[in-house]
Amino acid sequence: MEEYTREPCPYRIGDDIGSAFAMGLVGGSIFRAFSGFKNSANGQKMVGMVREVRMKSPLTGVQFAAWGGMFSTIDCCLVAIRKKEDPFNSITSGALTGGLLAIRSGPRVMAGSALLGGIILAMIEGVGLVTARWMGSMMDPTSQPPEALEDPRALPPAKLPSEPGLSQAPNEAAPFGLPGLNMNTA
Amino acid sequence: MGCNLYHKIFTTLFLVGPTTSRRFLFGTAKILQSRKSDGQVAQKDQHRSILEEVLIKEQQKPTTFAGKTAEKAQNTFLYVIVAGSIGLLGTFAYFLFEEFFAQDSPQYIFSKALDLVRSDYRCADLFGNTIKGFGEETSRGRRRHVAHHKYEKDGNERIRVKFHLKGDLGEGTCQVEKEKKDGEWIYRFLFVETKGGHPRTTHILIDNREE
Repeated sequence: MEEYTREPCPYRIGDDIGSAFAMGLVGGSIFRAFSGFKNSANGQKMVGMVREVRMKSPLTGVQFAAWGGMFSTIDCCLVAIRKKEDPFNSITSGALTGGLLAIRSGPRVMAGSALLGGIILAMIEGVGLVTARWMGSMMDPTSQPPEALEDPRALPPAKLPSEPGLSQAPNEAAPFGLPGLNMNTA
Repeated sequence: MGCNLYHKIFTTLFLVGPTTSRRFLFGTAKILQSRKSDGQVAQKDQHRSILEEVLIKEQQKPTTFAGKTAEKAQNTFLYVIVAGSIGLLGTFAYFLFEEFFAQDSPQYIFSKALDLVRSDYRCADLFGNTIKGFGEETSRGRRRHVAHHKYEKDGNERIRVKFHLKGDLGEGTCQVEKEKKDGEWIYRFLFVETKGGHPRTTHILIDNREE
């Protein structure tokens, strides 16, 4: 009964690999369809297009999946190390992913790729923040201002405003539920 | 013409090395100026790979006035695109910076409150020695978004932030409220509450409330 939701972290990697592959497959199909159509001979445009999509778009999907899986793995590692989940994790793991996936191209390419990955992820976070901030006001400009919250019930009643020169001690010792203010001024 | 433009952007940005990227920054027209005679072109072509031969197609320099104007207009259009993109990136970067470092941003409050909770002995008793902090969980398994509510009471801005805690011994939530008084954000209250077990244990770390 205690736990309705499990920890997302190790399982999320698989989810991310799958969704990244799907994304790459769809996007790759669209782009490969264009290039296949352009590069095929006249009269065989349709066949060439389908062949190009069939052969090349799963490769794009796999590349996306590698990126997504690496990214999610590093993100989960950072969560485990820092014990904290915030946008900084995803920016760092974006940069690390970019660098690690380009590891066979040498340090210069790695640095560039890491920078690019970090910037892209930072921009994704930035876009998310901007949309989250502006969406509310753009959806309904006539909406009421946010309502004031009551203090949580878990807290004891708030103490009275402190007056200079008066001790708070008799305030708290008021017997029988008498208002402390009367005791104080008496 | 449009296809030509994209080809230009593609070749200048992705296909070629740093020297030609630099040329892009100082004007695409310089690519065409750099080769004056056929002999130079031939000499240069010896160093090009087959892939470059196929992929990089150099255009002829326009000789007519209309052609030159079109070239300039195209370059100006590219510069405008680049400037606009840089502006947009700057906006996003600003918001990101604000999210991390602004006094009234939920992320900042969450980060500081988590530090306070971790350094508190009673919290270590309740949750364990290593306490993990995270926000609300989305369907994709991300827990970065911290629940918060900004409102105004008695003319003072307030923000209440709630996030989750998890340690070796148990789970719980933490609620923080900050109020802007005389231009400074100060804590109004900060308490943690265990989750699951009955009765719930509440531990108040900060209580600055006044009626």
